[in-house]
Parts: sequence; structure tokens; C-alpha cells
Amino acid sequence: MRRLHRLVVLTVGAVLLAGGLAPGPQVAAQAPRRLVIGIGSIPNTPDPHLDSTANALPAYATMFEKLVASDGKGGFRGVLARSWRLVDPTTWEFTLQSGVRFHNGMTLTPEDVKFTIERILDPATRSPWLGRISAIERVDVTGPQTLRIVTRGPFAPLLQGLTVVDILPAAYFQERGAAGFAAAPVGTGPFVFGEWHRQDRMVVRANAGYWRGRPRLDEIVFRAIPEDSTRVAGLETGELDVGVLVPPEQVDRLKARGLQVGTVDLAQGMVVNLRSNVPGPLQHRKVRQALNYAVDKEAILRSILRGHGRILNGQVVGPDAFGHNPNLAPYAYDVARAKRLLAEAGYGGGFEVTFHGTIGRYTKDKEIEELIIGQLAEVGVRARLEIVEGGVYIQRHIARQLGPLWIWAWQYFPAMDADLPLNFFTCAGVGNFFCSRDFDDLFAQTRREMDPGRRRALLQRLALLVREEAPVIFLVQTPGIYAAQPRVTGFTWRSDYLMDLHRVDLQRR
Amino acid sequence: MVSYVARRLLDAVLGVLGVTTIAFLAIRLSGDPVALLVTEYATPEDIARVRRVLGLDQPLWVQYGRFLGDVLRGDFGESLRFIKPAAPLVYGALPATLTLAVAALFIALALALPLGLLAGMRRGSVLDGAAIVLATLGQSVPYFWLGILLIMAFAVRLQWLPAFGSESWRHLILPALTLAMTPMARIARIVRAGMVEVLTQDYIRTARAKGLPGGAIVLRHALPNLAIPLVTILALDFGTLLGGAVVTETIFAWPGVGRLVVQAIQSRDYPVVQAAVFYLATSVVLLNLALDVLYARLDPRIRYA
Repeated sequence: MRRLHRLVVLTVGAVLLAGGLAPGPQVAAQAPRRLVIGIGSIPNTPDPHLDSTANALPAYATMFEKLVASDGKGGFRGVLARSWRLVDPTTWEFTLQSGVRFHNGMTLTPEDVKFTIERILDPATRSPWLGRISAIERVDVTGPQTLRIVTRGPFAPLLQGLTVVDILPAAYFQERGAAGFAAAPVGTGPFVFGEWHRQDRMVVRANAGYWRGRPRLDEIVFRAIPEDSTRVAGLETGELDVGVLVPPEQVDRLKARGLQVGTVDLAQGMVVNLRSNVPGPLQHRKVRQALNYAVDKEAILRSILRGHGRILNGQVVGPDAFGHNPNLAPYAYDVARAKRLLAEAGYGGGFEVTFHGTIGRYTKDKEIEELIIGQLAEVGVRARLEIVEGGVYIQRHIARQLGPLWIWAWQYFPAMDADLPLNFFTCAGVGNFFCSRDFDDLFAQTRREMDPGRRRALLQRLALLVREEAPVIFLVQTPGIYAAQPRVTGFTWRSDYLMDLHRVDLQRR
Repeated sequence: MVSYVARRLLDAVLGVLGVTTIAFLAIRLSGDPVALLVTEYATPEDIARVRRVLGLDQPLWVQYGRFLGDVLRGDFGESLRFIKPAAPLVYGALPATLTLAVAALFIALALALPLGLLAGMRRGSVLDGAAIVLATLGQSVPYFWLGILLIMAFAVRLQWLPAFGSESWRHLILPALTLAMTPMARIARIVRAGMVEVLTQDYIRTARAKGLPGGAIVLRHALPNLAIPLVTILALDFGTLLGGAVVTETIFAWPGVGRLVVQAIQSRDYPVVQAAVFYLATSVVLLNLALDVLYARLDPRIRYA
């Protein structure tokens, strides 16, 4: 019986193989170059103004473009804007690229930019990006290729805000309405909209008329696969060409299967926030510094993240951000010094404190939380871990109901600027937990300083101040581990979560 | 009979109303969606404005009154996350979940019936012992673990089936098998216990005495008497299946109601949660009603006054 089975399987297999091989290379040459990407989720809607989740960013970036984008080195490069200049401290003039066409054939005009910005600023749109550009007072079209953006008062991080603004075609949008646009969205990007199936997949196809040249791929499929293990399995079976957010412990397994594995230090600084603006031991700077000395960052990186990621050097952003201070060093792991500082602050006997944590919100968060609790115990700080459900977590953060200690990751993509996280360290910051007059004065200066060089210097001074004040326990820049099949070429995942997919290609098998 | 059904329908309406009210309150007590809708840059004024736009600045009883009025018109409001009417979102995702649940129930029955029958007929045998072990395992294995294990075995190792997705019937096999395990175990136990009991009854002894063959005794006399507990457990398990679908859908990236609801709860998307609870509660209540009516058909001794 078993032999018969095997015979049948072999025969069927041989027929299938012969059938598959017979037409030969002609069929292969016509097969579309399709890249399947496994990611935790796809956009909630094809309308790029309505979803700000990190996973949505690379998918939107295939179809839509901004005026400017981060150059990955703390500066900006023009995308739809060819150039820009500051007319006066509240007026920015942008000149658009000429000859850029939307997917429906219409030419990009300054009216499209004006419409786009006004749509996000309109509270009725309910765009989550509103807060990033709410400093804009109005947009004036000044010529066939030029426009001026006027802000309420000098607002230095305007370009940072514009890195989230996908430009939409005004006339097309107004003709179709929001629902019509979401059903057939149109942008200027290297890929055009194909399909979108909620919580399942989004398909985009090559834009043959892309103004910077046709992409090499014919089609990209973003698959929403929430479970890490399933994504890894999909890479192993070959159902996925690329998978992102691979758990660190799966790296060796995928490498052994011949997959390319890469790691990027994502633009998010993982820390433990310390609530220091309410009575308690954390009001003392020495106590906050002591907690920083008590935590072994090296151990987190080595034993939990298996060498992936990067230790934050005493600031909440990495070297990929504008305003990063290269002269700062991480707090060393020094238990004796931590105990001494605690004693000097009058807490030689330690203290009890609540530590709010998460599971599955950040890479290996629960393991990191438990390690920190153990290390704090070494210096007499008895932290009780309380896990909070993800949906409530942000809300309680904003309502100042977390902590005194709580795990957090300060995201600074896609702007890639220290302004984004440091905004929350002001006395008036949303969900604020730290308040220093010196900090606020210096921060206000950075917002008014329109010269990039001087602004960078101010942000670096601010970083030094934050390191000394230690409003957080600085941990790591979390790793973004990704894997790709051997035939995929040119794929990289960037620290700002984007993927440069128009450069990716597939080798012929 | 008609008055009985009418009374039960009224009960059903009250039941659904109760469940939706609990969902309405629970989701509001557990968190504020506005904090999750705006980016971290939003000021308290931004948050207040969004709350006003959504009508969440109104007192709870005003919100509840408006909610009930809308529900009567079949309107559950607009999803906060998808910015689309909530009800079509839910019933758009229902077919995927129902397909999964029905397939799982089918697999469960196909495996459990022969297993339970044989085990019950050969009580104390090796087969019976194996069935009991399997049933215990099936009920205690978490969906999560089993799902990953099946993916590892049938997708990664053997490469017979896809690891995730919902494009074809081949995609349905692994998630349905995962979801089938718990009901399979429960059904097998019920069938086995029922067989053991039925086989001691007088009418079985009579049938044997008439000289009927074993197969006919089981099919014509024993099995019909198992129908009531079986139908009961099937209907109850259907609710459990919808719960288990949440985990299974997540593992297999199956775009059903389970995942929709979990994400809606996480982002405090009130309208979607309320619509989903309404539809699920209604389907479970109606299923139970159908079951009660069915009892009368299955067992002539049951009469509805």
C-alpha cells in the first residue's frame, strides 16, 4: 500500500514537473516581477492622510510622495520640492519639480500642495498627522511652480513636519470625494494602486511613467501577518520574499536556510520614563542618575536582543537624527556608584516603586522589563511590574497615569529630528513627566532658530542637559531585523521604517 | 408553539439589548479612543476638538440614548479607525470567520463521531484509552501552540500547505484544523459517554435480542438518541469557535471578524466593537432559539406549552 502511494506521488509529481518545465523560459520571462512583503499590518485605508501607524508608512511610500524627505544623515532632500528657502522667519518658499505627473496623468501644481496641507489641517478630516504641521497658518500659491507656507511664529522644524505630508491631486480628490479617492487613490509615486483588502493585503503595480524612472519590480504585495512566527514560517516556505520585524532568536534559523538577514537600528529610542514632576524619590536628579547606573544596557543588547540594536549614548535619539550629540557617552553599568548616589540623595535603603510595562508592544519588551526589575533590585530599588494592555497604555501615558517608572520608545521617524521626542520633555509637553525651566528655555530657542547649523548646536546642548538631568533611563535603539530570499536584490530597511522599493529587483531563477 | 417562539423571540431581543449595553459601557469604561486617534504631537486642545467632533464630550446617558436610536435604524456609527460605517465592516468580515468556523465544525464532527462511537462501543479497549487521551489533549492544547505547530509541520517541513492567507481552500485547512481541535475533543467525549449510556438501555437489549446486526443497532437505535446532546454541544461550541477564531485568525493572517474586533478593542474603536458584539450576540441567540425549536423535532417527548 505504502509503495503504491509513493508510486502515485512520484508519477503525479513527474507529470507536474514536466508540465511546469515544458514551456520553459518564455513563460518565466513573462512572469511579473512580484515582490511579496510580510509585515505586521497594512494601512487601515488607502488614503495616506488617515493612518499614521509605522507599518503603513512603507506601503504608502510606494504610491505617494512628499515635498521633502529625510536624507538619513540628519538633513533633508527634496522630493516633489526641487528647492526651498526661508523668506522670513515665518515664511518658507518652495519650488516644485517640473513635469511631475500624478498616476492619472495630471501634472503636479502648487494648488495640489495647498489643497493637501489644508486637508490635513481641517479637523473634520481627522488626520492623525494634524499635530505635526499645526504650526502652519496658511499656504499661498505664488507662481506656476512656487508656493509659500506661512507659520504662526517662527517654527524651525517645519520641514520635519512636511516629511509626513503625502501630496494628493486636488482636482481629482475634489471630483471623487474622500470615499471615491480611497477606492482609487492617485499619487505621484513609483507604484500605482492595485488592490487593498482590509487586514489582508495591499497590491501596488509599477508606474511606467514615474518621473524618476520606472521601478524594476512589476508588482509589490504587502501581506498583513500579525504573528511573528507565521512571518518567519512564510519566509521559510518561500511564500514571502521579504519579512520585517523578525524576532532576534529566529535570525540563525533563517540564515541557516540561506536567507539574507539584515538589521537596522530603528529611529526609536527605548527608555524607561521617570516621573520626576511629582513628589517622591525621582524628584532627585541623583536618584534618576543612580537608576541609569544600575541598569546594564550591555546585558539587554547581548542576552535579550542577541547583539541587534544599539545602546543609546545618553540621549533619546541615535546618530541618524538631526540634533544627535556625538560627544555624549552612555551611563556606565556601575552598581557601586548607583548605591552611592542613592545614599547621597537620602535613599540608601532603596525604595518601592511601580513599573508599568507592556507585552508585545516593542521588540522583547517583557524580557527587557524583567531584566531591569532584577537589576534595580540589586541597588535596593524594589520595582513592581504591572503590565498594561496596549490600547490603554498610550492613553494612560497622555493622562499621566503611568509610572513612576514605565517603558517607552520615543519614535523620531520619519522626521529624523531630535525635536520630535524632546517636545515631550517640556513642562507643557503632552503627558509630561519632567519639568525644567532651563530645558524649556533652550527648547524654545531651538524652535525659533532658523539656521540649521545653529539649531543643531542648540539641540546638542539640549541633549547634554537631558543626559545630566536623566528624566529617563536610557536603554537602546530597538533593532529592526529583516530577511529576504536570496534572489531579492537591493532591499534594505531604513531606520525611518521606509524601504526604497523602487530600487529592489528579483534575480531570475 | 407559536406563542412559545414569540416569547423566546422577546427574550432574544432583551438578551441582545443587554449584551450590547454591557459592551457599550465596558468599552467606554476601559479607555478613551481619542488618545489613540491623535499623534503624540497633539495638544489638549486638539484632543478636546476631536472629542467634540465625535460626540464623546456628551454625558454617557446622552451617548447611550443616541446609540440606541441609531441601532434601531441599523446604524452603528462610523469606525474611528477606518473612518467608514462600522456595520458593513463587521458583516464584510463575517463570511471569512463563518467559513472558518463551519469548516472547523465539519472537521470536528468528521473526526469526533467515529472516534466517540468506536470508543463507546469498545469501552475499556486500547482504542477507548487512545480516544480519551486524544480528547483530553485536544481540549487542553492552546490554539496558539497548535497553530504554530501545524504551520511548522505542514507548511515549513512538508511544504504541503500554505502557512498563512485566505486565497483558496488549501489556505483553509490548517486554520480550520487548529480551530477544530477543541470542539472535536468535546464532541468525541459526549458521543462516547452517550454511547456508553445508551448501550445499556433496554431497547438496545431488545434490538440485540431481535438479532439486529451491531451496525444497525448503532445507526438506527443508539445514534438518534445522541442527537440532542450532540446538537446542544454543536450550538454551544459555535459560540466558542467564534472566540477561538480570534487567536486562529491572528496566527494564520485570516482576515475575519476576530482580528477586526481585537484591533477595534485595542484602539477603542467603539462603533466597530458595538456592531460586532451586536451581530455576534444576535447570531448566538438566534442559534439557541433555533436549537430549542429543533429539540421538539428531535425528541417527540418535548412539548412547548
